[in-house]
Amino acid sequence: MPNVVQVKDLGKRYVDGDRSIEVLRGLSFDLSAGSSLAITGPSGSGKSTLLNILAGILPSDSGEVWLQFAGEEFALHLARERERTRMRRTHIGYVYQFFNLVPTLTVYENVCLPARLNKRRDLDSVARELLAGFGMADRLDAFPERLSGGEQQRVAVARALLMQPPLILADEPTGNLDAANSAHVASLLFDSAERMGISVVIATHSEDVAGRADKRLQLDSPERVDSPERVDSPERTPMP
Amino acid sequence: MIALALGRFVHRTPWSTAMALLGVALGVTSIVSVHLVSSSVAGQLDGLIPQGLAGYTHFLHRDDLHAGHYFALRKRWRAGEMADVTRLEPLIDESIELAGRGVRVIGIDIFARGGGLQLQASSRASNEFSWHGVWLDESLVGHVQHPVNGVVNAPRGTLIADIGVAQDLLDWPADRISYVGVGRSRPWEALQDYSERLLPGFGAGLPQVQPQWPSGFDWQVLNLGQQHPASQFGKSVLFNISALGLLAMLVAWFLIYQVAVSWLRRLWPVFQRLHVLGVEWVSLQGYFLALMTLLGLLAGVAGLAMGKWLAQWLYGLVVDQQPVFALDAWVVAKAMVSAIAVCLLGGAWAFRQALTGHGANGARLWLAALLAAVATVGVLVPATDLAGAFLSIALLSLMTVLLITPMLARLRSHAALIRGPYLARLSVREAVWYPQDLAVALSGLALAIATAIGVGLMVDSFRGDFSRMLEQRLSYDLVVRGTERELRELVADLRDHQGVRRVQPYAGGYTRAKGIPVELVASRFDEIEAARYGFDGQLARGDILLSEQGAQALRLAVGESIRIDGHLAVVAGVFSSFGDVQPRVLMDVSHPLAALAGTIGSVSLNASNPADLRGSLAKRHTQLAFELQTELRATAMATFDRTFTITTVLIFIALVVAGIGVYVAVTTLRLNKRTGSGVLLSVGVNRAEDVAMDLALGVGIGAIAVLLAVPLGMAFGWILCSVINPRAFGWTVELQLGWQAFAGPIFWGLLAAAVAGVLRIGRFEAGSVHAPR
Repeated sequence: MPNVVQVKDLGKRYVDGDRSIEVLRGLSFDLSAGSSLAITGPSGSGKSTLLNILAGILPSDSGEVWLQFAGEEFALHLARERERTRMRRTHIGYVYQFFNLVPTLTVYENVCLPARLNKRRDLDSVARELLAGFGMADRLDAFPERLSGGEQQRVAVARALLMQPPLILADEPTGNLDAANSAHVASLLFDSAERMGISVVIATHSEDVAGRADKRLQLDSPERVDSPERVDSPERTPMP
Repeated sequence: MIALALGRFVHRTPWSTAMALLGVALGVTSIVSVHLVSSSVAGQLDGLIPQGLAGYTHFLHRDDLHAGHYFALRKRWRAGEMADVTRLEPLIDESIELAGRGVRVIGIDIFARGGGLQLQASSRASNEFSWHGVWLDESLVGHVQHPVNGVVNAPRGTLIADIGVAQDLLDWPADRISYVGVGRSRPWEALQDYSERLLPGFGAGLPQVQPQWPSGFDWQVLNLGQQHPASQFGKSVLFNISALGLLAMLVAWFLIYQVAVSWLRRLWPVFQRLHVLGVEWVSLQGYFLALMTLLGLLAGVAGLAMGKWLAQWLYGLVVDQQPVFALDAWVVAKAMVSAIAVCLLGGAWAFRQALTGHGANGARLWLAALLAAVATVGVLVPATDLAGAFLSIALLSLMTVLLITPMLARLRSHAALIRGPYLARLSVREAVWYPQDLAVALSGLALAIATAIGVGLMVDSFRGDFSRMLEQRLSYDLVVRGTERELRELVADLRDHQGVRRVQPYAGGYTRAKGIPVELVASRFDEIEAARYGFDGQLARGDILLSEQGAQALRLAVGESIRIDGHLAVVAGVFSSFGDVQPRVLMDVSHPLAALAGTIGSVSLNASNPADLRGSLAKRHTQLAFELQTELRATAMATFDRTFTITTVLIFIALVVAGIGVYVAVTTLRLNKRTGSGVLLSVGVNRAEDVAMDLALGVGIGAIAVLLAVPLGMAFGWILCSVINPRAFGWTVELQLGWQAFAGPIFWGLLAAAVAGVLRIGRFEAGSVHAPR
């Protein structure tokens, strides 16, 4: 299977005055099409930063990030903000822990949003089917404020799946849910992705959720550096 | 530590702070500039009343008045029948011709004033005071035989003397007087004086309360405004301007509140944590109000400086002069109190709202209904006068403010009906999604647009009526002014002049009808001349045409009659008279009253080539002033437009301040937007779409403001045309709903909101959206 994601020697640091926090350093891993990767680690270890770099929301400071979708290869580390945005719009689904839905759009409109941005009106009926499959058929015209946390995450997963993107990035999607809802949302995400052949990268603190992924990447606490000079440390690689 | 945290907050939000300062400073600027211009104009208007006639509250008139009437009245006063009367003095106020000049002779009882002189002479002609002497304005110096006691600041051609001297000058018997001046102690007098200093022109808008007179009192009573219509006219204009100045202040108040709401939204998480750590809310509120006070202080100082500059600029635009305004204690106090008090109140109210939540919509609706009812009374009951009409406008504005939050809540519940492209759809819906954050800024914008529409409707309607009046009135090609002798020479000269089709001389003068000063104009009122005033046919011998103001002041309608100086006059028609400061009576030269009209003052004529005719006549008649019809029309329209310059500038300021208010509100909305912006980022919304969404939000806010402003503006327009104009000036303006009056304000309002929406500066200041999680 070809790799959907290939990360080589990735580095990212945040600078605050004369202090620098090196969140990611020398990170390398790859992810084959249709498989899943769980990213775990303590708070502040760079899980969200890594997902944002993979989505093209944040630029990396060093290293390479290659994405390969439908035979086309993207050098994300070289791409401009505009190209990264275009790539994200067409090839990536994203699920957050909080605030997953646009409050001024209904459930149905939230799910259809990526399709409309890509001018794919033909997916309107798919959106209905997906939402029906997720038990949300009677909530299509409701605004997000009327939904429970579990319902909101189900809608978010449906939205991420609608375009059948090659890659879904999920940032602690069950972190705000009770155990039952957490299991339900995780099942919807992993099962649907597997059925559709979608790769998943999921950041999580939950051992149960991480256990459902094919691979796991453990991130450590970041290095704090007093001067913005680079400090070398051993590479972090994903555990099998 | 808390103060340090607030200081850092301000430091980290420089753009929001600068916008807040600018908005409040602009509000104060409008307050200061209106005050300075108004107080300067009010001072000049006070100067229209000669010093000898100042200080009275009422004037008593009757036919064939003589000293016996005065003494009988004085006897009753001394017997205690008029307890609140503090002054009662005979007066002479007439016009004569002295040494070829028109002179207004004012006779006062110097002895009754305690023998002392209360006239403030700008210079004294001689060191000796003479009981037989006179006080003059500058233009009469050297033209009067009597000893001159002093030169006074008074309207041109004014002569003031003791009553006996005035009778001699008029060749009147010793028992004849013009009328009686009365001073009455008024309730709330001190308060009214303070109000006038605080809001120049304010007094003109207050309802005139008629004092009680003793039984059997058969005098015609005029108040100050009726007695001195020119001064009253000017002060009514001032009141209108002051009221518009208040609008800019009101919008600035809304902005201050919006700033307080916005800052609180950013600071609230910090305050909550501090409260959890044991800091009392009252203490946190104190720190917050100190921050708002600092804002008010700085904005007040900036507004004072900018207001002084704006006043000079505006004054120069309107009257073509460059006076130097001084910032007296009143204007400084007004500016600083407005800025600081409103900052404090706005801050305290916003803090209270944040702590306790917002009032129920039901209570707002009831209160709005109550305000609407009181506003209706102010419009329908003429006794409430100008103040009642403006109070109605203020109450309607407040009613709209009250209704905005429930209306947004209503719209929010139907938000799903807002369709269109998804990104535009979600942005427009956002404009109704957070009523509490947006309501006040939206109110400010709606009020500014509504006022612009209302004033625009009034000005356009007025302009239309004024233009039609000029069309009708300016039917002659050339108008010539000068002395009677020179004009008679001109008429004789024109008799055989080829190319001159019609020559129309006019005689003019002044008298009183029911005690009210009226202007008399006599001419040959054939069909052509009568048609200039909208009257069909020739004016009959005993008939008069009366200006609309005259009909209102004298309470006369077409077909009714009045006795003026003993002559009966039947009102054959009422004509519009925009721009007149006092009632006007027109009659044919054959009318018995025509003798009172005095000498010929102007001649109008029609000619085949008026410009050439003027050129040739001007060479032969160098003392006469010639004006072409086209020049008169251009001057009249230019004067009309200049009159509304201040209005336009004030509305523009209000719109700018409202736009800043919307910008501040949008920055608050962006705090809410973190719930959606992360998602939009993740689904690949690009920068152009992001800007388009902000534009849609701005336009959405503007559209809601327009939705509110259009009916409100139409209501304002109607009140201005049909209620305020008749009450202030005695003329009615027919409201015409032209699209131009709507297009401009709607365009500028939408533009202000759109710019506020797309303005990117300050977007990522402290408290704004951060990277999504």
